Amino acid sequence: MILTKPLPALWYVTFQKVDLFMLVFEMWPATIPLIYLLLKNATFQIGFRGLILGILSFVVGHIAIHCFQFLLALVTFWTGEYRGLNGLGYQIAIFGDSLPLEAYPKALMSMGFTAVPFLIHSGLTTSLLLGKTTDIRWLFLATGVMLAFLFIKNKVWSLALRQYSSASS
Amino acid sequence: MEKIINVKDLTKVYEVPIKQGFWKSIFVSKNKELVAVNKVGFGIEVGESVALLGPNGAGKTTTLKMLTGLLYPTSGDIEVLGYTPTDRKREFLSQIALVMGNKTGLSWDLSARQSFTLFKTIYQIPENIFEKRLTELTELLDATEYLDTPVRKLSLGQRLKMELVGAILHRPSLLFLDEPTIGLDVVSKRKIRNFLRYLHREEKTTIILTSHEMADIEMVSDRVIVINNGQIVFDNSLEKLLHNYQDKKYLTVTFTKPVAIDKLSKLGNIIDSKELTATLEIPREKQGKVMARLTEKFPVDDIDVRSIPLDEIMEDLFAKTR
Repeated sequence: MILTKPLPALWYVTFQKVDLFMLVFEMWPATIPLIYLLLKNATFQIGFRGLILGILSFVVGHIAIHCFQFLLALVTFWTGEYRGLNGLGYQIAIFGDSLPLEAYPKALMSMGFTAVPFLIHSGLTTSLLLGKTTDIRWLFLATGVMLAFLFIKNKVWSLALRQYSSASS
Repeated sequence: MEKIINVKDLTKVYEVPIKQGFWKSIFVSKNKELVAVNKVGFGIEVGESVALLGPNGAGKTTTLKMLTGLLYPTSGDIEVLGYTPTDRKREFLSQIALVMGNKTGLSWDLSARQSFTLFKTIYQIPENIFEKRLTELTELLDATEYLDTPVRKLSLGQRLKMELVGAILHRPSLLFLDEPTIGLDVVSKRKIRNFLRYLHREEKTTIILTSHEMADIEMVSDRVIVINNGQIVFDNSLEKLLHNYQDKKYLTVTFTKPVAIDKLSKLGNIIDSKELTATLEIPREKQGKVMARLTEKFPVDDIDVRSIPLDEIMEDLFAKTR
């Protein structure tokens, strides 16, 4: 029904429900306790720069992984099924939680930064917060990946709407 | 008159997957084509009230969804208010409204008033006009008292009234209705029909309606487009449709005492009989003669004359065009 209203439908679908509880819940394991513990721990220092970069990386990564999950969900327009892929998307999104980027082998790191961007909001964020990574190019790369995913999400959404074929629902 | 809708050679083919084994369905899936709408063409003028009729699966809702831009046609041209519906231009969407009897356009967890406030923002309705319009519409539908009830707690009839209010708050010039009275009681149905008639007559809203309720059609629509198997089998005024079936009359006769059915059957085709009543189907030109014979030969208490009901006309039309 929302498609018959003068609204940007993709925007509406994306933000129709912003589950604040889930957002906080998902932030929890990777970042907030980490910041708390690290601030208390004298052997680790979180600098202002690292904190800002970490926050940016967290936001950029979440947009990218949301786009990825959304793209998985859009497969339903072709297959008629959604639940399995939704579960898979969620599992992938939380796969990289808590571990810094350096903990991953190179191949997995490449994949987690491009085709399946689960390492941006998790691994990179942790790394930047800890100051283990200071190279800002990582953040540029992450932003590029996010923009690419936003673009693909828009395109696939348009294609998916063309596939909508239910007369009764 | 200016055409508000122009449809030419409109076709919609659904790809329906054929059930196969698990591996086959993954690697060599096969689809069969189901032609829902087949080269349909029609035009609708400003201010018309048109009913799209047809049996289940005829292609009515598919046509409606293509007209509102929800479905992409497989081929053919559609122009609604000068726009291609699937472009979903803001200017186009601001001028239409769609109400589906089996779907809700209101937020389930909010009250209707809260949803309407959201619509006010979406359609950029000024506050004073919004309040006036809301009061006017809810009063017309006797729905003022449920405005602040969460939508999930409304009965079907109450919810449908609210759906209608929400759909026309912004005064759309074109209103699409898909089975708007489905599942409603007689009182609610009448209320909604009267309301739609009011919209059509007083606000000059162009209405495109699908329904299986012939009373909806009789009360709301002036023109009927009958679709069967994806094709238009009739497109003319309701009067013309009724006129085409005026060759028969139905006499429901009430007797003061039981009569011999075999004698009665000589006057016409008996389609229903009970102890003291019988319904005869007779050619229209014989109506006077048969009535005279009835009163002369039988203990008649009352005779009710009626034309063929619209339901039966539809049934006949669907059967002929199957």
